[in-house]
Amino acid sequence: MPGVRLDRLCKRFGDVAAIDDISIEFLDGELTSVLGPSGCGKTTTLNIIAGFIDPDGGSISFGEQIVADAASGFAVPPNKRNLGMVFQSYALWPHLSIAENVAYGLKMHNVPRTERDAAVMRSLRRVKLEHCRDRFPHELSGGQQQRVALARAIAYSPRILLFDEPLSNLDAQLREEMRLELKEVHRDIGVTAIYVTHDQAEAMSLSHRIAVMWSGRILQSGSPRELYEEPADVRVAEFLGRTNVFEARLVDRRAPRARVLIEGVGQPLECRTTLDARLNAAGVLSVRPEAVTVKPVGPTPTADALGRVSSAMYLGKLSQLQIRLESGKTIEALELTRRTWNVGDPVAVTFDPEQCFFIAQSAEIRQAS
Amino acid sequence: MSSLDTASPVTARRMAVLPGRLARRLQRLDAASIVIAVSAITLVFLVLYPLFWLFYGSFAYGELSLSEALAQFWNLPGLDRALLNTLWLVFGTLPLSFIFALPLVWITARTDTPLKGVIEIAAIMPFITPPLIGAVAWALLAAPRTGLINVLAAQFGFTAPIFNIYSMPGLILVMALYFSPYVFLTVQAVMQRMDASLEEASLVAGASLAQTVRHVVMPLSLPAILSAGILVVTRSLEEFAIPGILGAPTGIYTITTYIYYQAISYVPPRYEVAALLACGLMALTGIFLAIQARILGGGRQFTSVSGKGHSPRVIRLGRWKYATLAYALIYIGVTVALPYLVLIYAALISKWGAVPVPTNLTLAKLVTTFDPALSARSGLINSLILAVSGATLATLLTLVVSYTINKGSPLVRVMLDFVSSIPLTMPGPVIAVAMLWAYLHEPFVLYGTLWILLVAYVTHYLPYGVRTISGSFRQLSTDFERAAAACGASRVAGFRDILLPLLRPGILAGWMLMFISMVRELSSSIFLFVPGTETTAVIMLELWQEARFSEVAVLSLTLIVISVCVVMLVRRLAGAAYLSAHR
Repeated sequence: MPGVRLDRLCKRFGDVAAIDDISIEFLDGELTSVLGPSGCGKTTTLNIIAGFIDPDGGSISFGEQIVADAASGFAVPPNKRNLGMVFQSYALWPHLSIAENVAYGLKMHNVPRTERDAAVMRSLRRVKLEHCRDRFPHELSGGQQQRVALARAIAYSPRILLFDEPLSNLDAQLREEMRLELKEVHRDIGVTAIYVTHDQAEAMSLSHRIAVMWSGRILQSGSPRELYEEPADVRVAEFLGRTNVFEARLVDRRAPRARVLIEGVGQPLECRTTLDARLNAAGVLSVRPEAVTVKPVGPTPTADALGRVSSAMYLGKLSQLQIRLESGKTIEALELTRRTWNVGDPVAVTFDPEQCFFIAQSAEIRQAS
Repeated sequence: MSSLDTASPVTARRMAVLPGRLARRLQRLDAASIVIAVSAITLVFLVLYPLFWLFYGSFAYGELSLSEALAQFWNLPGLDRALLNTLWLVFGTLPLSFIFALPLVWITARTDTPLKGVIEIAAIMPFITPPLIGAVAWALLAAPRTGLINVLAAQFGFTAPIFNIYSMPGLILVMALYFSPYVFLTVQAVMQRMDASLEEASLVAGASLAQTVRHVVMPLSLPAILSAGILVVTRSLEEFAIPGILGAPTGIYTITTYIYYQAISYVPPRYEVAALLACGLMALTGIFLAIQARILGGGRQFTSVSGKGHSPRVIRLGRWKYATLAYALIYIGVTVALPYLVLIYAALISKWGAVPVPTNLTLAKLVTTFDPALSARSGLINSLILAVSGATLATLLTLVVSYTINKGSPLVRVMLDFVSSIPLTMPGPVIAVAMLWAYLHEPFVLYGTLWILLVAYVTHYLPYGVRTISGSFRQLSTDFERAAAACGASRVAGFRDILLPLLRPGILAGWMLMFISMVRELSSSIFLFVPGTETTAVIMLELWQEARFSEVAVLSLTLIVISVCVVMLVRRLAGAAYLSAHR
């Protein structure tokens, strides 16, 4: 299976740069999510990879083969790219039965009739819908339709699979089930897959890698863990889960822990950071809500900061607290429910250095987004 | 992700690709592009070539120069009368069609009048009746001496005819009867979608019913009312059959009939004058349609008229509901029942004016009308050939054009959309005059054959097809097509296997609309036929002038039966298509 490589890809719609100089490699056999808010250009990127839209600049190659090159105007039409695609709208053809839907790609790839039936069944079995082969799309539930769409996309063993927000039309519970199923199918067939989504939980749970996209650019790409624990950009930190952001300055960068000074807190805080962060660099400290430990104000003066509870939400196993610090900043804390908090309770908070991450990024870059 | 290594294979392949835009274009040339290009060129040719001749050729190649034609134009006998008549007709029809239609809208949309469903269908029945047939039926009913109403009145002792349909009031009455469905349909659509809570809010705020109607209902339905008004104006401006049947015999000409009787079939023909009048008529229609497009465009800001809106308030009429029912029944009687009854009477009666008892009825006319020696038979065959082939050709063409309008680049889209709507501004006589010039000359000499009629029909009814089929294209998600492409289907294969079956109901509806319009076509056929290429409608007009009422009635009923059969057949086919899509 080849990987997919985008090289300096650009696409403009009128005055708007939908895709602004993207270079990335989607690795062979991996499932990579392209994650971003709506309008960030992720679907456009997918449509360009599929060949539905031609790029204005840059090139795309599948393995060693160039499939689109803006400089020479060369583009392989979508039907010759040997890919499978799963659409948000499912796009099952309503006039064809389930088996006919799945068989269509095989027919177009000139698979002989005798092998076709076997391949259709194999593909339907993979999504556990072999009993639906003679039904029509409208007779199936949303989740089943999406599974047929997946079966249709993998039936002819394409070298690349593209997913355009395939689960966003399903309800929450079904979405989680489908996630597992998708992951399983992908593990079985091991094809290079590109998965566009705006749902960070989906991207985190499904992908080998995630590329976070923001207004036409890729901010960072890496494994879900890398992105969550070592975000290179404050927008990445904020988009992947919730986080508290403090303006910060790096004052000590000795291994294994660095130390930063943050607004409203007197003493330096311990945290992690990248190796290339320079001393005295300005940036932000990202503190995940689960890194905040909240205690009632007591005799032990080891707190990083003091404040009062401004809102407390009981979520069952967890409690979500809003704490207004003495500096005036409000932060969020998420902790296992151990006691009942009341609004106005004075509290002492400490930050777990392992889960605090300093991002060296100037204010101008942050504001540019 | 790993950064890019040295991109040697990339550059190597780039070198292999031919440079230049042309090479790029050629690379992408597939069967689909060729079909699209051929269809687009055909469309542009069909529309613009006759227009070129109408605007330019008629003066450059005619016997008169533009200035001579203009000089002759001002001195034409009776032209001022014809223009005045047209004005009278248009502005008489306009209020009367509203007077007929608005009560029906109110009755069906807002009251508890019984039989609302039936009234609703009956209100659009005249829409289905061709104006030609309506005019014929009304002439049979109310011609001064022979009309059944006047014959009956004479038996009751009236010495003078009580109503003369061959007059301006008669013309206006028939026009208004047959154009009121346009008002009914347009205004009713808005009334039904109007959110009733808006009216309730006004009533709650203390406004009276009259104030509510004035301040809320009227402003909200104004765009629809204006648009309906313009539709009636353009339709009555371009109507040929009604003034042809009811006006021309007594010398009441309108623009359209003047072009025919006083310019084209005048001896010697005044072609240049016809071209001038046609240009004027086209400009007028164009202006009205442009105004309508603006109004409809502006109407979109009335967001309150949304698709959802809850069901409007129904006014309980009590005993008055029988009065409204009576009104509706009279309307149905005058527009549908009486005309059809008189046509059946005329087709079956052995002696005009006789009492319709079995001994006075005969089926002989049904046979003799279609005697092989008479032109009615060949006329019917011609009409069927033209309607089937014309509707089929136009459907194929509009299918490709609609595809291109929906999927093409913005420039192509705008251009094709514009060109394909030009024929909307060309009433039948205008199309015909343009065709006469265009296809009388080298290199496309079609005059004197059925081909010129075919070309005229396809050109004239293209916009109807484009609108219908383009509409169904727009409802199809592009994902269907993209999914096919992802599965490896070429554009042609995807179109054939996926889009075409999904579009089938829309295609059939477009075909049906064009077939029915073509099989009854009169307003351009009358200019373009030669002996041997008459169509049914032309034959009907000729037989009418020979006062052969029974034959005309038989042909009228034949046309209606054919139309109804086609509608039912297409509904069956489309229904089957729908079922196969949603089994």
